[in-house]
Amino acid sequence: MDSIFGICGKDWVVVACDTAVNRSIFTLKHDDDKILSLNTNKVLACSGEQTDRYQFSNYIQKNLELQAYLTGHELSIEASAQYMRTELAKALRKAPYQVNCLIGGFDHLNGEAKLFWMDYFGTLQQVTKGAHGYAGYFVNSVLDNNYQVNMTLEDGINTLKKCIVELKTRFIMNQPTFIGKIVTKEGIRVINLTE
Amino acid sequence: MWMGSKEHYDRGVNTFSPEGRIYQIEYAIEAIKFGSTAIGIRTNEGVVLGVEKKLPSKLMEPAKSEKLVEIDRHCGCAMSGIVGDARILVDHARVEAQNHRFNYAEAMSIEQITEAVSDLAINFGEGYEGTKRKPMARPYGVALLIAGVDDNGPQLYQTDPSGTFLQWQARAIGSGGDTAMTYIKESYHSNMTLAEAEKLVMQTLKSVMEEKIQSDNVEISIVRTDTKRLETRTQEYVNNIISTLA
Amino acid sequence: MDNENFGLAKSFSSAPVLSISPHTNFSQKEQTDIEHELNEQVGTTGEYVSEGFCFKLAPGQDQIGFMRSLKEKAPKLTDFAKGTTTLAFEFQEGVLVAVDARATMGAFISSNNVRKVIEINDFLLGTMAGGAADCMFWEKYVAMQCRVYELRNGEKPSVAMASMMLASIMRQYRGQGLSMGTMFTGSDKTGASLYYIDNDATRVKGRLFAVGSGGTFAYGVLDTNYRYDMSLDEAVNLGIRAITSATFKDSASGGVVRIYHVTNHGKWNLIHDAIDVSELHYQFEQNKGHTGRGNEGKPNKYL
Repeated sequence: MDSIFGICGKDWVVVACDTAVNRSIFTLKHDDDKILSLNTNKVLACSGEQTDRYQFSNYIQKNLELQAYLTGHELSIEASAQYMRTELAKALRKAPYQVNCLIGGFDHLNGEAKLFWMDYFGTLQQVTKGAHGYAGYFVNSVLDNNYQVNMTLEDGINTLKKCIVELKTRFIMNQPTFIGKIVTKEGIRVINLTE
Repeated sequence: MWMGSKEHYDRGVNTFSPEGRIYQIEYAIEAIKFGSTAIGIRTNEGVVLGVEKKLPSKLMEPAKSEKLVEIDRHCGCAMSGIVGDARILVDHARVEAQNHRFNYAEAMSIEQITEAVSDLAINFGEGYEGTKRKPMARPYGVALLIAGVDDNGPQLYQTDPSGTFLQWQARAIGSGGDTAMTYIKESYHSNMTLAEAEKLVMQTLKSVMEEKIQSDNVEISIVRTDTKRLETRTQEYVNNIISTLA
Repeated sequence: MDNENFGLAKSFSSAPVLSISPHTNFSQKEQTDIEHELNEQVGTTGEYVSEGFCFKLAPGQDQIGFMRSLKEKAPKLTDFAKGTTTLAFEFQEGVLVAVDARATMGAFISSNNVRKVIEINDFLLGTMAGGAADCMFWEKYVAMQCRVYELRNGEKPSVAMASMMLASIMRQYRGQGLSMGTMFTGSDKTGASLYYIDNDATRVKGRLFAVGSGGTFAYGVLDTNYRYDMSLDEAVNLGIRAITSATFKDSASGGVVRIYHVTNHGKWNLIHDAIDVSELHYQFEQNKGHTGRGNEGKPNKYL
C-alpha cells in the first residue's frame, strides 16, 4: 500500500514516497525513508513489504558499490536499472522480492536525467513519469496532465505536490507525510513534500 | 636396501613409518618448542596462567592478550606454537562453550572444552567422508594450556597436535618449557596459595626468558575457585610481582 | 559457528542431526523413504556425520508449500495464541518496556503470571508475543551469538547488529511457521535503542511500539500522552497506565504489569515485577472519583 511516484525532466528527476510502515492494522512507523540513495547520482524507491524492500535495495546498493571497486567504473543509470531487473528476474522463480521500484538518476556522461519503472516481475521501462500500486490509480492521470517536455524542476515538484493533494483527498490510506528526492547534476537533495 | 627412515614416511600426514610413528605430528610438536613459554599452575584457590610475550622489535606495539585469551568466563587459555593455528582452535572452543550454555544452560566443564579442542586438533588430513567442512590439511602446530574452574574445582589441561590431552598440577610449554618444568618441580607443592603460584609463574618466566622481564612482555590471568571468573592481571599488578622477584 | 554461517541458524551444536530429530508418526514404509531422503540431505553414509544442529524440516523440498497445505488441512495446529499486550518506547532516559502477563489457550486463561520480557543478556531485552517458544529460543540464540561475537572481537555487538541477527534468522525461516512479534531493545555505546522484529522478518527502528491484540488500546493511551522528554517516573506511570487500559478492554490480556527500563549506559533494570492490573483499574477509577464498576452516568434502571 506504499505510494511511490516520480517525474523526470531533461536534467532532473524527482521521486516521491510516503513515509509510513504498516503492519496488519497498525502503522508501525511514520518516518521511514523508502528512497535509498544508491550513490551521489542514483536513487532507488521501493514499495512492498518492509523486509523485501530493505533486503533488495541494500543488496543492490552493496553490489553496485562492489562492482565499482572491482572495475573502477560506475554503472550508468540504465545499466544499473538493467542489473536490478536481472536480479529481480533471477529471484522471481526462487524467493521473489515483492518490491516495485522506481529508479531515478542523472547521467554525467550525457547530462541527462532518467527515470525507470520496474515491477516485481521484472518489467523494466524507461518513463518520463511513473507510479506504483494503488497510488498509481489516483496519480497517473495527474502526472499525465501536468507533464510537459522541457518542464522545469519547479514544475516537476509542483506536479508531485498536486499528486499528494489528490491522494489526500481520495485515497483511503492514511499517509500524512511524503518525502521526495531530487537528482540533478549537483547530486541528491531531499525535500519534504508535506505542506 | 637402506633408506633414510624419515625420507619417505614424513611426506603424508596419514602415513605411519614402520616403527609406528607419524612424523608430521612429531614435527608439529617440534613447532611448539620454538614458541614462547607459557606456564600454568593449579592451586586449591584457583589456577594461574602466564605467558611470555616476545617483542621482536622495539617498534612493535605490545599486542593485548594475543597468547592468553578467554574461552568463556570461567575458562582461559595460554598457547605456544603457531598462534594462527591456535586462533582456529580457540574459536572452536569458544563456540562449543557457548553452544553448551545455550543447549544445557550451564557452563561447559574444563575437560569437555579440552576434549572439544583435541577433537578438532586430531581432525586433520582428508577429513570424514560426507562432511562439508574442509579439515586442516596438516596438524595444528600449537599446544594449549586450558585452565579454569568448574564443578570439579580448579583444573589445568594441556593439549598438543596429536590430539592428546593431559591434566596437570603445573605445566610449562614452549621454548623454555623443559627448563621451566624442572624449576617449577622444585618449588611446587599442592597447598600453595594463588599468590604464591602467581609469583612462581613469574619467577619461572624470569629465569627462562632471554629478555629482561617487564610488565609489557609478560601477561598473567587467573581463575579463582570461589568466583569462577577469569581475571586478567593489570600491568601494575604484574609490576608489583616483578619487584618482589629474586 | 563457522564464520561463513555466522548469524545463520544452520550450524548449531555438534550433536548428530539424526539423534535430535523428533519421532515421526509416518508408516514404516514411508519412514524409510523419509529417512533415506533426510540422509541424502545431510549426506549421511551410515556413520556419524554432522554439520551441526538444524531443525527437522518437513519432508520434501518445498517447505513453504508444506506449511501452506498444513494450514489448510489442520488450521489449528499452527494457530499460536497471540493474545497479549506489550509495549516499549524511547524517551530521554532510555527505553521503557511494559508488558502484561496473561497467556490464553482459546477462551481459557492458562496463566496470569507469564514473564513476557525475555532477559536476553545484561544489555538486551526482548518482548514476547506470538509463539512463546520461538521468542524464547531465538532470542536466547541471539544471546549466544552476541557472546561469541564479544569473545571474538573483544567488544559487545551493537543493538543494531544484534537485532539484525534476529531479523536474518526470521528471513531464513520465512513462511515456515515461526511465530514471533518482538520489541528488541538494548543499550550500547550510542545509548538505548528500540526495534520491532516479527516472523515476516520485518525490522524497523522506532520510538514507540505496541504489539499484540491489546496493542491498539495501548497505542491509544501512549500516543495521547507520550513526550520524548518524560522523566523516568512519568514514563513508568505511562507504561503502567497503557498496559492497564489495554488489559481492561482486551480479554486476551491481563494479570500483572511488568516494567523494565533500559538505561542509556549499557544495562537494564527491572522496575516493577508484578502490579495487579485489577487493583490498578480501581485505583485509577477512584482517582477520577468513580467506583470502578463502570456504572457512572448510566440511568438508574441499569445499575
